Amino acid sequence: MINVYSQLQMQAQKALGGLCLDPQNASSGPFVLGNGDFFIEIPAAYGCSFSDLTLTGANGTALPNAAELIDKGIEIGVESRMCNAIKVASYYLEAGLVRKPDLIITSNSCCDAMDTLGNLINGYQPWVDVPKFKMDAPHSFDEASYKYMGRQLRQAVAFMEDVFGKKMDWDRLREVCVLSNKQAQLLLEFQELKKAVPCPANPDFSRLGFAYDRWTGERVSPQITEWLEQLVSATEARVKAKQGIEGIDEKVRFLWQDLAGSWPPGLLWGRLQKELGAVCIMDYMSYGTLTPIELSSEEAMFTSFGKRFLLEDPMNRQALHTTDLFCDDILGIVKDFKCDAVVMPAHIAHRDTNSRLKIVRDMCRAKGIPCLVLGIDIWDKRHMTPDVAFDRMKTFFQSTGLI
Amino acid sequence: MKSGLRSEVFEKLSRIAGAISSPEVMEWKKKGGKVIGYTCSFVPEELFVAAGMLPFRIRATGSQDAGKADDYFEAANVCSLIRHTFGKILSGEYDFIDGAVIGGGCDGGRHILDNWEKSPAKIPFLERIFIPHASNELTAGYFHDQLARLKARMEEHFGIKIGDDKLRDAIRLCNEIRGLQRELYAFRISDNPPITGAETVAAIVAGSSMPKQEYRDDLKKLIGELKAVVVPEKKYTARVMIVGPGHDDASLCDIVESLGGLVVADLTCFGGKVMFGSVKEDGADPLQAIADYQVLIRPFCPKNLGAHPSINKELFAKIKEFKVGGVIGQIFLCCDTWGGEIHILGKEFRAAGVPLLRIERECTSDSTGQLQTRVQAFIETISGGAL
Amino acid sequence: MTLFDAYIRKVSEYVEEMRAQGRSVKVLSTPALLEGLPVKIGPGANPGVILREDTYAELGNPEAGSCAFALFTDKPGLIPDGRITLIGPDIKEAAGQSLPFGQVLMMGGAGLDDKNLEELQQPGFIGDQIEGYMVRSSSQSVWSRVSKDAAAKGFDFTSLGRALMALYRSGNGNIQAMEAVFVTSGRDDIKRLDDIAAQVRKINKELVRQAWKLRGYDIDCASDCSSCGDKAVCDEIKEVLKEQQARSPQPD
Repeated sequence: MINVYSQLQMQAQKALGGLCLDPQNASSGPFVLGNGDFFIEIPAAYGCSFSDLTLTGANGTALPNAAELIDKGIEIGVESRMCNAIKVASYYLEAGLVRKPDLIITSNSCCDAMDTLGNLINGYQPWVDVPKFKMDAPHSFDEASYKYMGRQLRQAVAFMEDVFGKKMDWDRLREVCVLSNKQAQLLLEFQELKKAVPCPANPDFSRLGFAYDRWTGERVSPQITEWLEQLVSATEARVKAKQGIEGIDEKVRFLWQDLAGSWPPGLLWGRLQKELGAVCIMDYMSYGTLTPIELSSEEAMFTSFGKRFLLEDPMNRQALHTTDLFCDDILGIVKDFKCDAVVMPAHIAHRDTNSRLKIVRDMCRAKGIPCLVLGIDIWDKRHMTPDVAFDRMKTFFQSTGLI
Repeated sequence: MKSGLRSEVFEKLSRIAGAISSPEVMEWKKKGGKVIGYTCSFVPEELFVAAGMLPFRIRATGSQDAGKADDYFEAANVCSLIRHTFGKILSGEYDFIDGAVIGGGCDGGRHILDNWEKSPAKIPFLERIFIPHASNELTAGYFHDQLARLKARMEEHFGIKIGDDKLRDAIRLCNEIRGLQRELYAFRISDNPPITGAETVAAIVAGSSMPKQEYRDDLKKLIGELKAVVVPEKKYTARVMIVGPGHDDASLCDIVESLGGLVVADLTCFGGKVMFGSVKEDGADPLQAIADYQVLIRPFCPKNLGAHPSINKELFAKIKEFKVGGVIGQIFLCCDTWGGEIHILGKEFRAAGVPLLRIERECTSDSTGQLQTRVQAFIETISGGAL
Repeated sequence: MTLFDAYIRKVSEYVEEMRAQGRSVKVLSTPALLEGLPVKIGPGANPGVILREDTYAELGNPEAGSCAFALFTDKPGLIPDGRITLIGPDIKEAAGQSLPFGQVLMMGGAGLDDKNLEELQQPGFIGDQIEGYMVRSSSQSVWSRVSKDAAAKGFDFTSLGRALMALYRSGNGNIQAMEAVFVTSGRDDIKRLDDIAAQVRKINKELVRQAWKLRGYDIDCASDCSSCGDKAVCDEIKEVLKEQQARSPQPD
């Protein structure tokens, strides 16, 4: 019998399949391309598609021919140690495989490699005539920065209006924001349920829910609200019944403080759950800190967009800002979600994470939190297979007495 | 750096560029002067000069070992320039500075501040400044606000007042120095210049490592001497340009020039980029003029999403003006931004028939053995091939 | 520690202002902290998650409005010990509702100083220590739920105030007097309280900065002093810290 979680997973994964190259190229209507997250409520309200080429590249690393795509990316000739998701995206771009966009919106969020992809897109000769809008995402999170980012997002709307000759429907944008706020609350509700011991449902649904809500073609639509409602209701029932993840005897709860690998989750996290009872309660894309979009005025709305963009988009939050914020989040998650250990995958191309490992290790040691640094390539199994990562994590849990 | 230049003033500049601290800096401090370190060419020196301080560009010159910095920055995954620079900080070589401003240029670079704060290397004043990644009026305004904040923090910490008149004086001095640096740079337009590429690098690097007025005077003197010198006839096998990050260390120039070539131009963070254009001297708000200069006039950092057209324009103009026969595009391993930029430029160079040697290396000169062979092959390939 | 004294007065003025504007302002009695408290308190007292269907009332959902901060002073006489003030409806009047929520905790103790800042200023630190009361994660303020079971047992703002006072006092022996103000009367009233909170947050930030300064680093202030409206606040902090430094010997 297919249970509700399997159904939800299939539904989200079907939508996430749309982030691969071919479905994106086949999408209809005005096509806006970026190198990272844009503020998705805007294209959703405006009625145009938005594709993030970094995500398309990352999805490429999950395909059966991932190794070939990565190697083709290497042959493109960007810096040899650059992130493999960006290499695949660069290959897609330069091999002429990406549909020509009607508008390009790039920003430096949230890392140097994505910034570089932005430059590759902006400098791509066959698209020299495509209108381009560039945004500066500052490495700061205060009211002035939110206003600054909000003003740029407002300018992006004006730019879109000019390019497409169609005005933004502000009432529609407000409707989308109301829906978005509702979805944010449901995502946070599910997150709250993960505090229960044992964890009632596969915690990876946070990541799946975020990706489904923010990245797919169905973004900010009523069917996502329904999906989230079902997820929360099913999980509430399990909390009430004091049930853990089906078939899992939870022994260890850990934080994976980086992106998940592009291999199927079962290969590492699923195996850790099944064989060791080690549950990845939170990862860096799952941690939701979304606050409601303000609707009291246009300025307040765009300032709250700026805040969401800079501070509450998970990867921007972790990669754009200070090590203090990064460490505070680790401590907060460990405390609130009762994690026994922190795993720092330290994806080899994440320059920011690789620049803060000592501070994280020192902090964990001082607080008595077991911490493992893996040094993995989350996009390329040839660097470290999920099996090797499993063995290392197993040794870590054993040596720290957690299992 | 091997130099054939016979000049006392050049020897002084070369000595200053070849080390971190110098007697000139120590003399400045002895007289009660403050020294402020900074890490990126987009951190404006004018502000420090206006504060009566000596701006000192933090660099990794001479480093062969990142030492304890590799505890903070994972060696295999973070650019060597960042690691070696921080190694110098941890080793105490920058203990003479009274404060530092870290430019948020790249992901590794901005973490120097976070790690510095938590390291045993004490510094009484440590600030960050974010370099915008897009060039327009709004981003220049944001940069202005950051400069205003930094100015206020400096005033508060050091108990000084940085007035508009002082800022204007500083702008004039820095503009004058940029003009002199361009003059020095232009010697290599000629086929047989009185100064080599490696010597020019040293003379430029010294400019961010000693008192500004003294540097201006020394530079004037050096230019005067170079104008007067009779250069023995010499035929260079290739005229080369270097593009990429860093480049405070002349080892790559040394290799080219030891093989009979001449480095005639560059677009690097310590070279051609620092002397480009001028800050507007008569603007109503001098701080805004500085912000406009950094954000709008010289957007040459590939971290900036709008930089490429400016980089392209500047490079092709230099290729023509300096009769460049080939370009060496150097990338430090793990430098994503320059990695992408050299790739874009590579396509454009190919289309324009400009030979390019792409080098990925560590910032230290211990890879010179391998480099030598590759550069030699490149020079042999382009010999006599000036455009 | 006198930095927050002015803000303790501002909170009193705020309460009076609310009263003058006709809000329901009740001063609740606290005969004893623990005796007769309808719920258990202490580590693990609320180990589970309070589900939506088990929720009697929600407090401080960001959409409804939320604000929480703490103030402390080394003059216990400034704080009427045990006083709990509620502006707006109590929990029992809010079945099924999501109430805006403001929470101000004020503490006095001769031994309290800025070293207590981190410990006393984290509104969520009591997290799971009150039975039937759950503080949610990842909120920058207090966003909490009261369970139906707790409400049935009579859990109200008097209980919450007493529980918080007991928990804070057991965690810090230097607290000699403690007062709580809760606001549930409306989003605008929370906004008004948040204006005070914004000042307090700036003081906290400045205190952290000054603490770094004592360790040899002068770092990171988000504002340009020349145009910053809080310059007076910072100057005041500097003066207080200067006095403190003068009074106590510096660590090596």
